[in-house]
Amino acid sequence: MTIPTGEILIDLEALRHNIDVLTAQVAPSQVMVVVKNDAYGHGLIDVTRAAVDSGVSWIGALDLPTALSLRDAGVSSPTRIFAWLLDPEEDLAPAIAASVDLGISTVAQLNTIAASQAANPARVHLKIDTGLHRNGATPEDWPGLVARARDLEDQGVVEIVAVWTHIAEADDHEDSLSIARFEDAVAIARDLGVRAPLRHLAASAAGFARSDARFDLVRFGAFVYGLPPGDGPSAESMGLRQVMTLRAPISLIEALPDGRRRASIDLGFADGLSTSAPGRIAVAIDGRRHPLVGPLEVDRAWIALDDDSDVAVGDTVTVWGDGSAGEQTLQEWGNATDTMSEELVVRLSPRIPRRLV
Amino acid sequence: MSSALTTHPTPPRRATIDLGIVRGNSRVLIAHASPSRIVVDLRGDAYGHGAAAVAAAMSSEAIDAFLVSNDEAAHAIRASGVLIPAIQRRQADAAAESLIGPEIFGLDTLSVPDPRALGLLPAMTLSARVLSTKKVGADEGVSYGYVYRTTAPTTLAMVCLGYSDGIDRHACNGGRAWFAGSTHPVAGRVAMDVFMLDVGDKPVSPGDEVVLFGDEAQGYPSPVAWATSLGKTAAEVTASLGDRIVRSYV
Repeated sequence: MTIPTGEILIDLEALRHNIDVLTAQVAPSQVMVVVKNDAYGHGLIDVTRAAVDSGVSWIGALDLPTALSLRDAGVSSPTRIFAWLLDPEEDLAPAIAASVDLGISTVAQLNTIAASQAANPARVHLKIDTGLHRNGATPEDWPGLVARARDLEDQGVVEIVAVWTHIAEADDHEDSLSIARFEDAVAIARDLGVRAPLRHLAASAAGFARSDARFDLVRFGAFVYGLPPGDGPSAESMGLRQVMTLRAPISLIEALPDGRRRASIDLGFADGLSTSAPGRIAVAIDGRRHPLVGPLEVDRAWIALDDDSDVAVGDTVTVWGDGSAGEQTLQEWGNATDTMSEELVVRLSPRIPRRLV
Repeated sequence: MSSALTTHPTPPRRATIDLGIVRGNSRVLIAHASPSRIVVDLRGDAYGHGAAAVAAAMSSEAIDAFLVSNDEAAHAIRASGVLIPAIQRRQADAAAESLIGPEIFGLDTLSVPDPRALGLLPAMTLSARVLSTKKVGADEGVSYGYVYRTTAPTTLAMVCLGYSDGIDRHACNGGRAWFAGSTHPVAGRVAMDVFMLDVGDKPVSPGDEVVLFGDEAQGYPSPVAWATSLGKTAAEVTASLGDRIVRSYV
């Protein structure tokens, strides 16, 4: 006897729609669909297959285990799988053999590739730090990184596929400075003999909005799932559709000593619901909004009922969705709980069953 | 999810749980409990500590039942050979029970705000690997939105834990993690998969280990201190840690 305490619905038609919109928006630049963190909680394999079926040839996997699991699932060449979060203790040989594209920031990483004695050249994307100050070579280290990669290219150890960066999206001016630094780095790479590299800089927000940020390839994560930034235009007004709906059945209705009634769903903070949500969020039951109220428990959330609320145990509560059942969107959830919609979806427990619709 | 399946000598994201500490804490709490039915709260997969492993470690203690969130957890506890029954909320009778909560893991809750004052030690140590390092000058913005700016030339370490692992995006507002003998500020917004630690002039290399919280006696921030900087309880923090963090037991 297992009654699901909640379920995640994934609308693959909405996902395909978003990919089509983004592809048209950035053409002739190409689209990379980023599927890190189990495709932002939407399901790694289902999302990747839908993207490939939609004609996407670049998949952003984050790390080597994710990239290799996609190759194992049959996502084969010529689909390119890009991994950029590399662990210094990781063996790169299986990824090189599986033709995974590697995001490379340091000479040490290039030396690790050289030491791996792979049979085929490693496909590398050389990363320049244009201000975010996470990974990526500093402008001072950049010529040395490119020169070492060129040496290894001449030896048949690597193939330099791309030059890339990631920007802070701090404001338009800062982003313009990053774009200029990126163009300088590309010019230096060309001077050092890198032939016609792909160039990629932008993720969702900058790639959607700024033609000068798109270069040859745009890495779309959040927008693929219909998740726009907070406090900006809604997904709908951008022509995007939210892909995920989270819902749960009412598990209990009880009367409080003062006569008010409340209903529970069996999802709590251990399932990934935000402790900031009670008092700031309303959920939908039969098209009507009802506020979440505290306390948010480890495995249960409470919903305040009006005197005239006609609800029963087992009725469906829509926690978030595209708004079509009267519920709040993930963008509205993010704004109300002082975070971004991405944080809400990737923190959902993988224990919650997921169903394609 | 899949990162936990890699064949590293040590996984890059680790929660090490000291079951001896959990047993010790349980004895302190059972000794203080009223002489009634003792139920230990293992909901939320034992607040992120792993319900089956924790139940197995306490299978010889004077406990009448474990409270769990769902059937899967109850099955996992039974499958690990534990004879103490695992019950769910609808089978519990709060009036007749002493419910021992997440303080058993040395975590604070609204009802037990200072577990250390009761002699309870934190059972979990959360640590992660430095993936890369970078020297930067003064007045440089770090991570999304540049909400953090360096005050002097310094070294930044990129640590492989992010908000998808359950580390709040806003942990930069006062969060500090341990590296090489002292604590250092989280620099800038926590990203989905990594955060930056401003380690100052400490020498740091890829592969080094950073501890977010653990036993204060070893110099680590306590889970209570870490959670307080986020405006949460430590029980909320550990229960929402992601599955990419590999749990291991000592």
